[in-house]
This record gives sequence, C-alpha cells and structure tokens, in this order.
Amino acid sequence: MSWRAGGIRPWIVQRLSAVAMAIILCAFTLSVAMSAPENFQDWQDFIGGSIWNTAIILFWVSLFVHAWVGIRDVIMDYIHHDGLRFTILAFFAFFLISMTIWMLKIMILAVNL
Amino acid sequence: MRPPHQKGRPKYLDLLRIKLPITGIVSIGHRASGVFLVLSIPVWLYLLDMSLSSEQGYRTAQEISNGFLFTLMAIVAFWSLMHHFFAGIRFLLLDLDVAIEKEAALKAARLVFILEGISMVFVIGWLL
Repeated sequence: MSWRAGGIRPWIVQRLSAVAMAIILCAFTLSVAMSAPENFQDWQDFIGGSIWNTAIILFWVSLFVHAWVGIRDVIMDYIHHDGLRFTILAFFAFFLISMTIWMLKIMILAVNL
Repeated sequence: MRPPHQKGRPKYLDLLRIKLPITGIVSIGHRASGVFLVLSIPVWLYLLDMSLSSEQGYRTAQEISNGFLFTLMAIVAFWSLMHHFFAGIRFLLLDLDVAIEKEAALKAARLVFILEGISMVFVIGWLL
C-alpha cells in the first residue's frame, strides 16, 4: 500500500471490497456447483435470475474499486515518470469504465422477463 | 524514507541475485496476480457475453473454452485468482494481527501456497 498517495480511505475500501468479493465468489461457486447449469436455457436462467444478476452487479462494484485502488498502488510504486504515470492511470480508468459498461449491457440483456 | 545505508551491507539490485523470503514471494505474487486478473477481464466478459447471446453463441463459447490457448490462459487466470484469494485472506488476517510473528508468518505464507496448490488440482481437473 502506498502511504504517500494513500490515506486511510482507500485502505479501508480495499479491504471491505475484498471481503465482499470473497463472500460473493464463494457463494457463486457453490451455487454453480449445486445447480450445475448445463445448457443455454439453464445458464440464461441462472445469470438472468434476479439473485445472481444483482449479486454480479454488486460484485462488480467491489471489483471496480478494488481493481482501481490496486492498479493505482502498483503504478505509483513502479512508474515514477509523471507523464507516463498519468497516461497509464488514464488508460486503466478508461479500461475499467469501458468494462463496466460492457458488464452492465450483458447483465441487463440477460435479465429474465 | 529509506533508512541510512549501513556500511558493508551487500546491496543487490540484480533481480536474479535477490533472494526473496517466502512471505515476499506471496506479496509480489499478490501484485502480479492482481494485475493479470484485471487485464484478463475482457476475455471473461467476451465469453460471458457470447454464452448468453444465443444457443449458437453458447455453443461457440463452449468450443472456445475447450480450446488449448484458452485452457492455458484459464489455468494462469485461475492460479492468479487462487493466489490472490488466499494471499489476500492472509493479508486481511495480518491486519488483525493474526500470524504476524516471524514463525507464524512464514507458516501462513507456506499455507497460502499449499491451499492454492490444492485448489489448482481441482481447477485443472475441472478444466481438462
């Protein structure tokens, strides 16, 4: 953790999001193992059902902040040239936002009506 | 700030000569696996999108995920995930002062590798 740039808030965010993702990931793995979706319809019902559709979006909220704080820390520790650091940070900001839009598109289209 | 340099202490900046303790390997592995997991997001979203798009897409996604290159990538990604997961739990416990003394810390670091090894046996069995 980079204290130079840090503060206590990203430190707490990183840990809370980690716990949230660990819980959701374990539950997801158990749920997939138990319901064992084996064809398109089952898979579509599983991901499009309200429980996992919501849980995946909640997981993503944690993933988004966790990835951002983590990537930011790594970049600040290893990239010391200001311009390059800014460029790479900007790339990852753009990347994570694009991925979020893509994920939302997938989840919304998958919703069972 | 860096502590003042002690005289006569060897200072290696050669990565091949630096011997990291196992706790250090867990730590740098946590960083590397985290970066890899973030960079692999588009692959997972691409497959998820395809698998949910239609019957045909579902079958295509299945074929891609049975391919050699994908399997290789998935093994690295799941290994990263398992390492990130178990090392992350270790770091959370360290925050709570659990296994913070040297002996216990080394044991916990070894346990991280044991647990990720065991889970990788299951993951590889499931992928192949």
